[in-house]
Amino acid sequence: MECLEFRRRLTAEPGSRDPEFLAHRDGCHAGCTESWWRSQRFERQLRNVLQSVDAPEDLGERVLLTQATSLRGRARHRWQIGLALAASLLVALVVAGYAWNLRTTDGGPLAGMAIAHVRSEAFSLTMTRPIDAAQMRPVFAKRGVALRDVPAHAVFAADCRVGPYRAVHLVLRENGSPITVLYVVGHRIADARDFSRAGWHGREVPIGNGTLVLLGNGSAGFAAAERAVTDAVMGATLQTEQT
Amino acid sequence: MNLRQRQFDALVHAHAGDLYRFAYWLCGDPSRAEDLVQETMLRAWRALDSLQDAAAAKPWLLTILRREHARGFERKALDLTILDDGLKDSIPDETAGADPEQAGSDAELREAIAKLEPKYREPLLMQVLGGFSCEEIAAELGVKPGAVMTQLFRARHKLRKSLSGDAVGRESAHGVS
Repeated sequence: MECLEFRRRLTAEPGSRDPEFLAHRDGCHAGCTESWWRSQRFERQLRNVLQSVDAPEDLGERVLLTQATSLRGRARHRWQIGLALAASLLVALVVAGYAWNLRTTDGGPLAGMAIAHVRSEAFSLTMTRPIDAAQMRPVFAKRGVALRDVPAHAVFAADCRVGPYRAVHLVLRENGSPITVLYVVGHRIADARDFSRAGWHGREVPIGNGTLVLLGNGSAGFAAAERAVTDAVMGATLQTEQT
Repeated sequence: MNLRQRQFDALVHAHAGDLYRFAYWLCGDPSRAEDLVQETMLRAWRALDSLQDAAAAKPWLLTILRREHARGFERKALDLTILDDGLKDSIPDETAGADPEQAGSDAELREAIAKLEPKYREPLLMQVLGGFSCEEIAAELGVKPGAVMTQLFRARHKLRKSLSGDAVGRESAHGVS
């Protein structure tokens, strides 16, 4: 290594441990050894000056405080997100539950159509004279149903339309109270259910390939009416449908 | 306290002062320097799992700080002249009670460091305060090692020249420029 290269290196990298560099330092008689010592003194001074800046006394503590605060903030944020998700889930459950409740207590669309139909034929609820088998069978026959038996206590029978569905409209009087029974042919609901809607109590029951809809002021007498109509219809043979 | 938090605490206590000095000489503003340390430490906390070797902690932290400073520098597009003036104005007076000759020399050196252009000051700080080699500085700055050698040579040359009556400065200027 030549002196020029040594001194360039010395100025750029005075702490170099390169063997060639150190060998030149120790072997040169042209003043490079003295230059190296002066350079080391300068480096010491430079280092001292750069390190003479005092950091704020509590800097470390403040850094830790910032970190802890940031951590807690993020934990709080995560907790808030969790809370928001839980609240959303709760709201969804409440809405779903309410909808389910509505569905189960209000009945489905068939219940609404049945109530509308009974309101439009409110006169049927005033009927009190029993009708016989000869009057009833043709009504069912029109809906393709051959009755096995005739429901007791029937005071009204007519073939009607309930919404888009063909139905037999019966009114039975159990203990003096009228119970409307609509036998909706060709539309079978999945499960039986009771409902309350617009002041009416009702029950929907799947039967054969259709559905019975019972309506009354209360549910008393529903069981007997359901049994009577079911016994009359079940076993009946579906025949060619007449409109 | 878990191990990760203990490691971080140790890191803060061991290196916050060095980081502050490095930041101070980089930006010349005590408040900004403290902010840089805070930002650096928060980044370090998030990336703590990548620190595998305790000996690498200081250069690792200084690298984070330097990049944080560079990002802030780009964001604010600071005027370099203003920055340098700010550094000169905020140089602490550590000379009280010291040997008058030495104190005068240190004051001149401090002012000379403050006057250095960032392109010379930054590699010098990385070398003297950070302990980085020329190759490491080159890798960090994205330049060739030869260019770093030149920057370091010029940085020291300027500093030595500024010291009035400094024989080394005269010699260096005479012998190697």
